Amino acid sequence: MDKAHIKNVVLKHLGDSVEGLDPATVDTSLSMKDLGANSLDIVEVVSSSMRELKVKIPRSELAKLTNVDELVDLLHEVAAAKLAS
Amino acid sequence: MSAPVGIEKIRVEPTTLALDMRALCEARGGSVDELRDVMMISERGVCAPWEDPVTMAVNAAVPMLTDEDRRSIELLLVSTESGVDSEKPISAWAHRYLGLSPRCRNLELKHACYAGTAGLKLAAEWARATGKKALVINTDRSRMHFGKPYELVMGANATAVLVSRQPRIFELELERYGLFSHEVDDLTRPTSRVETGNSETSLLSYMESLTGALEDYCARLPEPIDYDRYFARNIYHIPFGGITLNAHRAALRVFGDVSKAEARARWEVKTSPSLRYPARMGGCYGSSTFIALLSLIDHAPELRAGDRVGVFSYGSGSCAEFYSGRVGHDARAAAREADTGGVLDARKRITVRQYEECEREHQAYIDDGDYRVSRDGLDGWYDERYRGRRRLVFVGCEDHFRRYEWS
Repeated sequence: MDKAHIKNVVLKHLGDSVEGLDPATVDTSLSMKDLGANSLDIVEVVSSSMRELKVKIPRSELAKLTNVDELVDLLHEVAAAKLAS
Repeated sequence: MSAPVGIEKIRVEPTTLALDMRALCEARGGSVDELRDVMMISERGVCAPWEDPVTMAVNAAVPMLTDEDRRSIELLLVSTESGVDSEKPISAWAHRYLGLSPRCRNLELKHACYAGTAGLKLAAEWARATGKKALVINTDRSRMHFGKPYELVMGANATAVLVSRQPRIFELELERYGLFSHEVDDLTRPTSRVETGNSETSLLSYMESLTGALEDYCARLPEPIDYDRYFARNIYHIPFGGITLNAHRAALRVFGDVSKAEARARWEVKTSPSLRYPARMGGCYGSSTFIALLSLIDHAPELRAGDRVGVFSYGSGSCAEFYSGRVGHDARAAAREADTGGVLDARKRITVRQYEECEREHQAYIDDGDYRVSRDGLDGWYDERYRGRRRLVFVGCEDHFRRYEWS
């Protein structure tokens, strides 16, 4: 599972959750809150992405994330580890 | 076939004070749009200085119980995350002031917002086995959180639930349930004053627990179900109303993809009527699913006796349960007797300043061993609403022993 695919999945769910947000123009160095997401939107994006990618990331790790890029990186790491196991 | 068992009566004690949450939100510089659309909260209950989790528990049950109920109750469970003593359970005071028989087991249960449901399910199994009645009371109040983001989802209230083989309101399907337990650092009350946590961790844990408990519920059934057809209505634990919309979409997604718009349309029918009373109470803690059930019965006129309702309960820490029951044959009459709307309307509307004074007063005496609660303030509310009306009130502490009396 390459990182570009994971990023597309995250951005699709971000666009689905945050009204008026165009996934094509999102600055992924920003946090989801900075992009207009509230707590429920963030939960929706993370839950939906994990479900679609069929991976589970530890909740303790999620709390440390500061922007969209870090979420994509973490999902990529967990997916790669799952594939290797 | 085993005897039916479930909820015979419910009564809500939403405190006698109500704070307009829009006023609080504006005072704190928060988003009124988010309060309305995401939090879905319009008012919250506030404990008067002379009330506490013990008085709320007792005052919830007193008007509901008949002499025959009191004689028949042989199990009293009080669930709370707002215990007033690490040794003595709230149930001991509740047992005394409710006038229950000495031949009654009483204890306090703790598992965050799941404890009320845990009490209900344990009591129902016991009632089915013994034929006796059980009383389950959930009582909670938030701590002082001035200016914190989660101040807008706090509250204070209690709910009394009579469990028996006469399930007028809700007949439990005890064989239909699903569980999901996992340890998580989401919310905590580590001292008598602190109540804190990570809201996003908690919301993620809630969602993971919902899908886990629902999948377990389905795995115990003899055949696959169509979620939308199987449940006439759905209740989800309500730390604040907006989460139930995400919860309903997450539940539907267990069975197949669903758009945000379609999920919202289904939620409007299936779940939104259950939010009407909770929206007027703020944080309902372990009482939320019981209050939601009363709200559903009072605000979904097409609901019929025998209709199946799915209920999801989540407690931080964590434990979750998805279970179901059927609307009882006499649910509407029993809900009318509870008069939840009337009790909510009868509350005194207080200002943000009065709310802050009440919270400061509670915070001031919480660890004090010798204290007498003032009954002044709140524009003479004690004299107007309490004096001579036989409500249990907290007098104060003497050498750390809590004292109560009837108003």
